[in-house]
Amino acid sequence: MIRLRTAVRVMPAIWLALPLTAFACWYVTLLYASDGYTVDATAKASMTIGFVGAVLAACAAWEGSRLRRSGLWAAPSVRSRWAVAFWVLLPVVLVGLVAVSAAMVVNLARSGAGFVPDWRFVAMTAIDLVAYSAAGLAAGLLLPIAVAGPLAIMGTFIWLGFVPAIEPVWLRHLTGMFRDCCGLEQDLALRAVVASTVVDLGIVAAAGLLTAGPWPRLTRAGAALGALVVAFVIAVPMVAGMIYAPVVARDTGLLQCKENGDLTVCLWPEHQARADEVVEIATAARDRWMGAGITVPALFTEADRSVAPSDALFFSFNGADSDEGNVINSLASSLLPPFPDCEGGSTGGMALIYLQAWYDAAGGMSQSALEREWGEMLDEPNYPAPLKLVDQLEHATPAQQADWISRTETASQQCDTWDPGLIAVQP
Amino acid sequence: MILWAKVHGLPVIGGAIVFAGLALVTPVSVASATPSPAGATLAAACILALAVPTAVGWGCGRGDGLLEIVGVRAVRALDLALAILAVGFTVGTALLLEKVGIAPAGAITARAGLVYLGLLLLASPLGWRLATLAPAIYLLAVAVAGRGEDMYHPAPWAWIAAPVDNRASWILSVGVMAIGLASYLIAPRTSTHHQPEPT
Repeated sequence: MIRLRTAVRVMPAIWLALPLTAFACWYVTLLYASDGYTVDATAKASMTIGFVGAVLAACAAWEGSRLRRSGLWAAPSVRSRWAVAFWVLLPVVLVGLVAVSAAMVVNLARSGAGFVPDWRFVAMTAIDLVAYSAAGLAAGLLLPIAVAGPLAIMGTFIWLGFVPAIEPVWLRHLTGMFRDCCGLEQDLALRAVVASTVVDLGIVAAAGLLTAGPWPRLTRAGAALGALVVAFVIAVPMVAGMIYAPVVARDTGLLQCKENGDLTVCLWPEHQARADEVVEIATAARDRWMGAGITVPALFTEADRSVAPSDALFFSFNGADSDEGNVINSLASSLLPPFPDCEGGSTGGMALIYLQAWYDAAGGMSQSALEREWGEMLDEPNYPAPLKLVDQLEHATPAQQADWISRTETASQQCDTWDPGLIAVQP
Repeated sequence: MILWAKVHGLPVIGGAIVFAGLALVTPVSVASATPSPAGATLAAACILALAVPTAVGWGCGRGDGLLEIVGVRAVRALDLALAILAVGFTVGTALLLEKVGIAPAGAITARAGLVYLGLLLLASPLGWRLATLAPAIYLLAVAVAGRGEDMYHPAPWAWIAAPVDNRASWILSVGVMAIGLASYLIAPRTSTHHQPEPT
C-alpha cells in the first residue's frame, strides 16, 4: 500500500487530480444539455474519459517507468507483482473516476436531471480506467518513459477517438465510451456494456501477461495477443449489427398517459411538467388535421417506434426549449410516410419537405413559426418555396388538398427522377 | 562519435523515420476523425508525425547526463543536430512524397513535425525523457478542445489541424520550431538525467 503522503509527493496522477477534474467539469459545459434525462446526461459526460483516460494512461506509464528504473519490478519482493501493480494503479484509477464522476454531476445539474449519475456509466468508466491504466503501466514497465508516455496517450486517444470514427459503426461499442446514448425514448444496451467489459478485461489480461508472466518475451507477447484476440472474439458478436448508438427501447411502463376527449397522449416522466400544455397543443392540432381531411391516430406517444403500438403516432420534443411550434412540427413529422429506402439515395425524399410544411400549417403552427421552420428553404422553378405551396393549399378545396397529399406521398417514395409537377397543388 | 551514435540509438531513430515514411503512403494516413465535439478534426498523419520526435527524445535521453555534461565532446550540440536532421529529413521526405503524389497527407505530417520538434526542444530542459510528452499533450489538447468556429476550422492555437494551404499555420509552425531552437540554444547546460535507463 502507498501512503497518502507518499502518493501526493511522487504520483503525477495526484498532482493532476484537481486540474483534470476542473477541466473535465468545464468540458461538459461545452456539450448540449440533456433533456432532464439522467441516462443521457451521464452518457454525454462519460465522453470526458477520452482525455481523462489518455492522461491517466500516461500517469500509469510514469509509475511503471519508476518501478522499472528503480529496479523494484525486477527485484524479489514480499508482495506479488499483482499487488504492487494494484497499489500503484489504485490512486490513478481513483483520480480518473473522481474527474469523470464530477463531470457527470456537473452535466446532470446543468441538464436539470438531478445530481446522481447513472451507476452503469460510473461502473463502465471505472472498468475502462482500470484497462487504460493497466495498459499504461505495462508500457512504462516495458519501454522507456520517453516512448511509453506518448504511446499511452496516443494509444488511448486512438482507441477512444479514431475507433468510433471507422466503419462498421458498432465498433465504437467496444470502447466503453457510450457518448451516443440515449434519447429520451432509449436506454443503454446491456450487451454493449458486457462487450466493452470483456474487451477491457482482455486489455488488463494482455497487460498482465506482457509484464508479469514467467515466460520468455516472445511467449509473453504471444499470450498477450491471444488474450486480446479471445476478448474480441467474445465481444464482437455481442455488438455486431448494432446501430451507431448503444441503445435499446426504454421501458414503456414509465410512460404516463393523459386523455383528452378521444385523444391519449403518453409522455416520459421528464416531460410531465409540461404534460397539460402538450396535451392541449396535441388535441388542437389533431382537431385541425382531421378538419383538413388528414388521418390522425388517437394515441400520441413518446415511446420508441420499435415498441410503440402500431396505430400510435410517435413524437418527441425537447422539454426545456420546445415551444408550441416545435411540438406541432414534431407531431407533423410523425405523420409523414417513412423516408424511401433506395439504393444510392433518393430524390423523392424531397417531397417530404412539402408534406411536412403543409402538416405544420394545417396543424395550426403560427405564421412566425412557419417562417422560422420553412422560410429559408429552397425556392427554385422545379422546387418552389414550401410556404408558397402552403399558401396555395390553404386556398384550395378539401378535395384538392386530399388529392395533393396523395400525390405528394406517392412522389416522396420515388427512388429515381420524378416529375416535380406531382407536388403542384393544381397539376 | 560511434559510441555517441550507438548510445543515442541512431538505428532506432532511422527505423522511426522509415516507419513514418511507409505509414504515410498507406491509406491510414489520410483517415481523419473529430473525437470530441469541442475538438478539431484531426488527420492520422498528425499522429504519425509524433514517431520521429519521440524516437529522438528517447535517443537523446539514453546517454548518461552527468557524463555528457562534463565530456569534451559537444554532446548537447550533437543532440540538437540529431533532432534537426532526423525531423528535418522526415519533413523533407513527407513533402517529397506528397509532391510525387503517393502521400496525400505528407504536408500535414511535415507541418506537424515542425511543431513537434519545436515543442520537444522547448520542453527539453525538463529532460529528454519528459520532453517527448509535450508534443503528445499538445496533440491531445487539439483533439479535445481545438475546435474553432466549426468542426472544419480549428481554433487559432490548434493550427496543426488547419488545412495545409493555410499559410498562417505554416508560419506558426516554423515559428514554434524557431522558438524551440532558440530556447535550446540559450538554455543553461544542466543535466536532468542522472543515470541511463536500464535496458
